[in-house]
Amino acid sequence: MGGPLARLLLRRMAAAIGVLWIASVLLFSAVYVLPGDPAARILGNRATPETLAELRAELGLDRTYIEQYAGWIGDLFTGGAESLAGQPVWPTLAERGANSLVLAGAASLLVVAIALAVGIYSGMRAGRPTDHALSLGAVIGVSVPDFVIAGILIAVFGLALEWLPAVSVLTAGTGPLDRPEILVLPAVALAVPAGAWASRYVRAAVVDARTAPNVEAARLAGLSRSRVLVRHLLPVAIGPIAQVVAAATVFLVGGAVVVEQVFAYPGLGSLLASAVGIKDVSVVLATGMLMAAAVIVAFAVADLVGLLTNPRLRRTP
Amino acid sequence: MTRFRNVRVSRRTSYPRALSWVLALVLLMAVGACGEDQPSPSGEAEAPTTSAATTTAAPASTEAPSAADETSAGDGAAETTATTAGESATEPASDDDEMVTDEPVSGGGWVRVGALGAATDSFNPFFAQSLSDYIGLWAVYDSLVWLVGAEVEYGLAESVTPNEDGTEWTIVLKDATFHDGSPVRPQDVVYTFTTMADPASAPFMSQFFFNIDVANISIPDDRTLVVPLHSPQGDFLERNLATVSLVVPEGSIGGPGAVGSGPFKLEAYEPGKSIRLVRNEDYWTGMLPALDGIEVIVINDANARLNALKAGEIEFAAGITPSAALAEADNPDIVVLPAGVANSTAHSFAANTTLPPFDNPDAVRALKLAVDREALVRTVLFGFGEVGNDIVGKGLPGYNDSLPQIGRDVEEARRLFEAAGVTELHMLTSEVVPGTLAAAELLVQQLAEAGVTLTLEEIPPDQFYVDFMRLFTTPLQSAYWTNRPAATQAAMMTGSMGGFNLTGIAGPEYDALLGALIAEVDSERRGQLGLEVQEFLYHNDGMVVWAFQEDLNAAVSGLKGVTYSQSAPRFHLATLEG
Repeated sequence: MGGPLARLLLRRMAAAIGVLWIASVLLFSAVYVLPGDPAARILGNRATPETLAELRAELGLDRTYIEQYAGWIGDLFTGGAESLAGQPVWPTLAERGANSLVLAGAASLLVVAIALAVGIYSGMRAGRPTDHALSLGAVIGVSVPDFVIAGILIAVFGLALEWLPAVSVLTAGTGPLDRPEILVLPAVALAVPAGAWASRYVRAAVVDARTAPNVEAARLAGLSRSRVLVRHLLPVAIGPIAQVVAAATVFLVGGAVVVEQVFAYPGLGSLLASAVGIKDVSVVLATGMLMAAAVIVAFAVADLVGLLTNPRLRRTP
Repeated sequence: MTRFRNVRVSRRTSYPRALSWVLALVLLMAVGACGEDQPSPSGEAEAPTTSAATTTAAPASTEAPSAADETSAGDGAAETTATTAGESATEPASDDDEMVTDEPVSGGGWVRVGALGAATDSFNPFFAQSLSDYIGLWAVYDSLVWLVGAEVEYGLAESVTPNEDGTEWTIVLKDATFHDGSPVRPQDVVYTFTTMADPASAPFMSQFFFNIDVANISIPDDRTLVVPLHSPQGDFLERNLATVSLVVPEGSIGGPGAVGSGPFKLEAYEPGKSIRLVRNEDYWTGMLPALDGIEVIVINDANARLNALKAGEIEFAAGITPSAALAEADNPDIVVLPAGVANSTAHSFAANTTLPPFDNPDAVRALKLAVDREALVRTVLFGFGEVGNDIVGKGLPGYNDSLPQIGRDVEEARRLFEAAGVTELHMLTSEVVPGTLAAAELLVQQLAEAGVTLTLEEIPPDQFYVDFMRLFTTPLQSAYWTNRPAATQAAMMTGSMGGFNLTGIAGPEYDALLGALIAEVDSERRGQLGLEVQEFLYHNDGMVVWAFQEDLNAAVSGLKGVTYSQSAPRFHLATLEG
């Protein structure tokens, strides 16, 4: 490994930080230009011009764009970010983030399973009827919105068959691992679109890898189908597959906002949804940054997997 | 040649080979999990990878609550039939010590309530916003007085009496204790009033305490306090104390360790997730709640709340949609509970009587006659509401029932609009509460039938209350009010001193009448003045209160005795049967 790899990693890390910074500016700007006024939202028809002005000042809404951005970034790094109600944001984010991580972990396993099973199977049978059928299924899986999938899952498995909890609520003192069954339906709802989408790319990667010289050679050498797949085809395809699975986390993070709300699961997504509802800017921003960071980390890990599995990438800086 | 290349490739991919094996393993596991069907995979697959992440969320108390939860979760019905028969022994290891200690009112079970809440809630009685916090606060804290439906009931206060001119109110406390055993003292009331009156600590509530001269409250003895007011007020009890008068121990701002004097104690508080309340075994009134406890579970989506109720995850859903209420009307397992017109939202169209065309009384009258209230209730509220008669406060004390109900008269409306020269109107509207926009759209049709073209200008809900100039210079707009007693609404929102006088109703005659109402100490005379104020508004105000939309809740059929205070359910009298 040595020099070039370290340099590459450093460069990627710098890029990740840059992306995060750009994300912070975009996120802040989006919230800043969003119509509406948190102070007015809080006071509603109990507002008077005086209390409104007072609350706006208290919330720092009367400051300039740059001042507010700087204040927010400062709070983000010093951990001083507070919600509208004056509660520290980070402990909440940590707990919600942990819950979301559990759900995303469950969903990711399903995504990988769906993507690999469907992608490899149809890639190996490219052009045959089973491939067409699976491709059609994948297109449907991608096209149906996650809240529709969630609704169907709730109606069928939660309410009609009563196999699984229709909502994923947690009681006091319990975490998702105390009731793992509550994770199943939201994980499936999250994983179906992401897995279906990723399976299309896995299929393409497998189709490409099938024509790679070493795979062709292995096949010509008379190796068994499974041996070719595991020893020769997957090593070639794993880089692109890792990228695709990482990209699928975008689905998981974005989908969580809707799916967690539908299942009432106490994660980052439902936190973001309710914070947007009440225009709790610091919570929206902190949650958004955490989600952006999650996606960036996922891509960084995918990059790393790609690098480690493909010697050529290591040499060309 | 081929063989040679093959060998080289195998050797160079030694590292990827390991990875590919791991991948294959994951694939096998995942495919296996998929094939096994949903019930088990998450339990096996996730436990190792994520246990570290959730240790923070599972504190030492994990066992007790989850065990208790099972009792009420899995078979709520079975449990409650057992306990109503008085057999606490039938729950072996279920609810640790609570079940054993309460012989007199044996375990009435747990009620889980799904309600709106936020992860940033604080259980601060001075700054609470969400319904879930209010359900918890109303259970943990007692109030001096409660507004129960249409009645003002005494809680911690034994009496609340004004002096002759309403400048001073004497509050005598009952002999009550907080959860920690300390007595409820006048000093605690003074502290609560002082904190509530400070807009920085209590931005939403301070308006009800502005008029109290907090610096000069005196405490003649350990049960009594004398509260001076800045300006005389005869309706201090109904308008102020009945809205909010919970008593917080001196120096406390609630929070996870909140101590009150109410029928339930706060056992666990996890904002945005759960508020767990257990029965206060030493409740000072001696009337212990029948329920062992309540757990308020935050569910923000109305459909998710209903699903949770149907799936047996909760026993009470605070807030369901009218369409859901219709759909579940025939479901024998759940009951739709309209909270009564006393706990409702008053939907209105506000016509400003100081601006053209509504400075002409004919135009106001025409608008009132053109509105088809019945149709609005039927279509917009799915029938879950009562038609309004242009006065807020229906179903609450002091409401003037004697005023004839305004009906629809399209021909008369058309004639009056023509006489006033009105052919076009413009209305500001916003979906601040669900249904507002639909009502505005229906009004377009209803006015068209009376020969008037109405155009709508929709603005985002969170912008509606930003621009005060616009609100007070708009001739016609949608408005809503929390239903409150008519006299209170009039004192707060109308007249020259009214805070949110969208219709501009004022003038010497009305101000004098309203001033007399506010200052009147004698309750009978005040009641009479309240009726007169309403009559004046009925004839002269531009507020078209077209309906009262009742809060809709739903519960399992065995849950009885839920009461409401200002739309928040209270469970101190509730029982749960199988």
